[in-house]
Amino acid sequence: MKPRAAAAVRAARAAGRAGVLLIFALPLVAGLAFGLGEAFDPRGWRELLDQPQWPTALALSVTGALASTLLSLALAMVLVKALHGTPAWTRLVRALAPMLAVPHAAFAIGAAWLFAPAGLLARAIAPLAGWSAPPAWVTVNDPQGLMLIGVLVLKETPFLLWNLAALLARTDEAARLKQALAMAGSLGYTRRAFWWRLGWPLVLPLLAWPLLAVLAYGLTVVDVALVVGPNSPPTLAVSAYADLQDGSAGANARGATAALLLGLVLLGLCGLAALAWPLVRRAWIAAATSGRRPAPRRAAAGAARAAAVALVAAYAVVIALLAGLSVAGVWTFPSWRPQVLTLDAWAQVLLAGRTLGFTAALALAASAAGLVLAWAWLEATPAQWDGRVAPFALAPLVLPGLLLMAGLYQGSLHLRIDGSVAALLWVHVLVVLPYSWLVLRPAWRSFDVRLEHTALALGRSRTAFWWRVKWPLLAAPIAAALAVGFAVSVAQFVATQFIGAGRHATVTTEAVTLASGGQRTLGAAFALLQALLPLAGFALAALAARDDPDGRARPAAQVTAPTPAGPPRGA
Amino acid sequence: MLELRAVEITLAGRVLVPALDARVGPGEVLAVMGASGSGKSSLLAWLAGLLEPPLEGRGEVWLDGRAVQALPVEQRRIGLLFQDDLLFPHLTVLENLLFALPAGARADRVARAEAMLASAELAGLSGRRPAELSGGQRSRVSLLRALLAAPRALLLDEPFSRLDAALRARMREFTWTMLARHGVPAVLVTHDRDDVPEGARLVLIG
Amino acid sequence: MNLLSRRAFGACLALLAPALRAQGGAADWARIEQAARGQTVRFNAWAGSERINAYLQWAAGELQRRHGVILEHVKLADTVEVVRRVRAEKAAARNDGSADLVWINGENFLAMKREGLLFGPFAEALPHFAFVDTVGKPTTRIDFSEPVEGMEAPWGMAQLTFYADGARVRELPASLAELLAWAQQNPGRFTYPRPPQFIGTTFVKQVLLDVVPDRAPLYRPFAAEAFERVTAPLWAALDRLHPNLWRAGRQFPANPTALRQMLADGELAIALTFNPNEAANQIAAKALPASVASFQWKGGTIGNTHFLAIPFNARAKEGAQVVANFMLSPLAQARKADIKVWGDPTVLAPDRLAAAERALFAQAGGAPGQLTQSAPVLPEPHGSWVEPLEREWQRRYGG
Repeated sequence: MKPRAAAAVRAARAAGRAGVLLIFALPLVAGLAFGLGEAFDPRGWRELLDQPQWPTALALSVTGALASTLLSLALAMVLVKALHGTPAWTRLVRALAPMLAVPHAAFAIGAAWLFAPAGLLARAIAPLAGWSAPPAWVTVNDPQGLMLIGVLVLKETPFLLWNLAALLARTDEAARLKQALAMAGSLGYTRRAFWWRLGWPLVLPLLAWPLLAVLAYGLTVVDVALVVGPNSPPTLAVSAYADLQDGSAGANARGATAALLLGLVLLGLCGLAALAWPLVRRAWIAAATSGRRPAPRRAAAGAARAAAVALVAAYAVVIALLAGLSVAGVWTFPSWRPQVLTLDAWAQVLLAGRTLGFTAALALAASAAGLVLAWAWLEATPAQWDGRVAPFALAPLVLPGLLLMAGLYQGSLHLRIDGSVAALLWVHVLVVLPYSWLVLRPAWRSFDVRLEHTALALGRSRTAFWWRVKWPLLAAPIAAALAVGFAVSVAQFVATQFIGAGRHATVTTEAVTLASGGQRTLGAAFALLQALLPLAGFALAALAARDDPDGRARPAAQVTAPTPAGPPRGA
Repeated sequence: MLELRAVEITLAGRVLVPALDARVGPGEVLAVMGASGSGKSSLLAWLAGLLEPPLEGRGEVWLDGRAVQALPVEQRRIGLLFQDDLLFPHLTVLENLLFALPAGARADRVARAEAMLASAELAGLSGRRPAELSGGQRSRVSLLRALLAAPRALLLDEPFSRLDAALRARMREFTWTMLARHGVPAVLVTHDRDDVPEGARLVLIG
Repeated sequence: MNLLSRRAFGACLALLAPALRAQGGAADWARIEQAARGQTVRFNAWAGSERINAYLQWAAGELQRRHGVILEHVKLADTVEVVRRVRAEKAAARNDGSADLVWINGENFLAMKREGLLFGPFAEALPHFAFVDTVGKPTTRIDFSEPVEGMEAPWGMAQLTFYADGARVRELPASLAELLAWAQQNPGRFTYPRPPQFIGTTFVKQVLLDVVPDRAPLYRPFAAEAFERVTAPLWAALDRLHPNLWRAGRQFPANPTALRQMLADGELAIALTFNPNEAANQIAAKALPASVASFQWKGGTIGNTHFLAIPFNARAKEGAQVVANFMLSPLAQARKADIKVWGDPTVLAPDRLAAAERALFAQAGGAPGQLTQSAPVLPEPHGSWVEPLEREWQRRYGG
């Protein structure tokens, strides 16, 4: 390459990097700074400790997060162990993408009615139990937060399964796993024994980041907790959310302090895990190399298959329930069908077409911008930087969203851009970018650079190469990144509420407001809409992936295997 | 004693390995050679109990007077060695060996593992991770691990092809010596004539 | 000009002044209407019911047609959200606010008025204010014992009303004593929204009014020394009631919509609302079964007026006033009072209207679920009592 051209390329790269840093890192750091500044106000700590309910609220948050993380991990491990390598596994993995596309809030709204005292489950049992009035169950909004844990487990298990599937599907991993399985078999260990002794100690450390994301989400979730979580007192995250929107400085400080406290708890739990892991590992290996060969158990496989079916069925039931609720008028217990059907809710939704249009337009813009920024970053930086960049790029996924959003809101107030569409879009891009980066990175880094050299050697410009060779070959990951970004933006709740300053309604904010306000029919209609939007996005992406002729630019396994992109988080 | 009776491997109706009969005594080697894709590795997979559709196998496998073709892989007590040493990377050498040993008092098991290492002139490596060993050392530990599980037969799928020429000769000698010492019948798959030891029965496939 | 002329001139001015003011007023209003054309009014209102949302959509259509004003319904889960937001905007010295018109009353109004968060006075200058029944409905000018002084425009009337599933409740409990007795026999079938939700707070105030021997202190500003003495019988009554409530009083639903939903599902047998026509309205909307009946307590229940106010930093102040004026028009008030639409009682005095407009309000009584017998309206206690009551309730029952 000529020296001047090389210098030009270097300059362009530097500009690309600077641009991304400005658009992404600067607001992130600013938001954190503002948020932390609020949180270190001593008044905030005093106000927080003055509240009589704060220990209960904190306990609810912590137990909810820990329980949901551990239970979903356990469920995921059981399913992988029993089903990996069988045809049932491929079927389960294929079902994961639509399950992950259902936003947390929509799922919570449907699940709430499944388990409510007057809900579908109670009506199913009513004929057997002889109930004529709803039972005195304490399910939805139960004060111990068990319903919240249940809903979180149902939502996080597919996420962990997806990550595990991605790990196990990497061509090198898959082959090595198969051989290790064979080797263990020849040494006298069953599949089950293999997983417990060899598989999990190898795979679990690779799940560290997804587990961290799950734990962070459980600690700071707001929209799901509003719909099904306890409300007397609510979790610390929910009360922090209410406080942070309060106008009085004292309540603001209290909310920011609570958010900081949650962040510190997360750090503390990570520290504990890091300290405990070597001890746990040592005990585990000692047990694993004890030489005991357990006898095979037949029943386990059947139970695991049933659990997988139940998981997928739960999602199908919830979606069907949302559809049914959205047209139900009077639906007295214990009837299975509504006594009266009404299309009023959908008529109202149609009239709220502006909200739908705004949500879709915002999501499209955010995902497109995220895609462009991620592409710019990947082109402008060498692959070796990825490891060091990862913690910063993934920060929005694990930081307490409340703290970040509160800080960004304060910043936007000072800059007088709060409530503006531009600021809202900017914040959405902030949240979407980590996902776009996660999805594009493997495809970009494993792209055969010799194709570029060949094109340049044939005398074509770099732009022509991108346009006619690189992007068409990478159409599937690009479509996936757009779909994931779209879903993430649609599902945003706290971000839209804060930065939008209540001026912009999206389908998600409507759904949560209506559902937690008791308006079941209209809330269900909006929730269904909220669920269908990302599903449509993923369907389009799947179409694009099928058009991809032979995926020559990257290893075959990645054409169909999911990438650990994570669920659309509404935090 | 390993006995194969009328062993046949087919792929979608096409016969890869026609009816094979063989008897391999303790410390003896049956060498199977043939072109790529001829079904040699599939034969080994079927013997171990790891063959998957669309490949199919028929016939009988007798180990020390018992038919094992219907047993799952973990019950057959047939050892495996591949081109890659497949030592479990997150365990030390000692832990790898302990994994293979039958259950018992820890002190006894550690002693047996150490003794095995010493017999192969690898004493002192028990605390190392596989990544810290040389290629030749890893291959030897892999063989020791397979032998510590007291297999009734050992299957070797091109075990020396990844090693360089000098190492290969030493490894071959080491392998046949250990097999003879422990009295384990072996089936070797290779496409290198030099791999086949003296006195081995040779079967050509494809 | 000599003294006589000057005095005469002054007398003429004094006589003509009202006419001049009216002239000026009319000219002012025309100017406001002109300025309002093309403005977007963001109406921050509780979105607790599909009926209300639908009514607002109708109003938006009319406003667009008649005045060129775009009405945008910003849905709130609780009015206090917009109070907080305007407070935050004032603290950040923002003069372009996020809300132009707010549906409000009671302690929220008190807070906004006291903290200077409202624009006004504007209400009594609205042309349609002349039709408001300020005599027969004194709460249109005194909100929770606080004089309105034109800082908010009346919109509708409210009175605490109970409704029950007639199929499950034989004798409707029309007093506190009857309710307590019924609850003991039917545990878990009644509850009220969790204070500080305003209807929950109103139920608490209703019980308080029923149990105190002397109501006078409650109509004066809050006195901390008297609080414990005055409210002691209230907590005693609630302590008797709570064990027989839904979920044994350990949990309370968040709002009256949830109550209505639970009644429709059969989980509750008695619910409460602030709109006397709510049950009839929801039956007409097929959200409640036709067996539901409304009733009030024989001794009277708390009633008040709900209002529309304009934040100090609203961007579309003229548009907001035009909207408020439209909401006071006989057309809009009649449609609002129509049970098939919303059923919210009107603030207008029918005898101040022309015959044609009065006819808009005529509707056949006896719709399913409608009140068969009205009870007297008890005025709200002073707004300053609300927060101490809510705080004490939280302390005792907030868990």
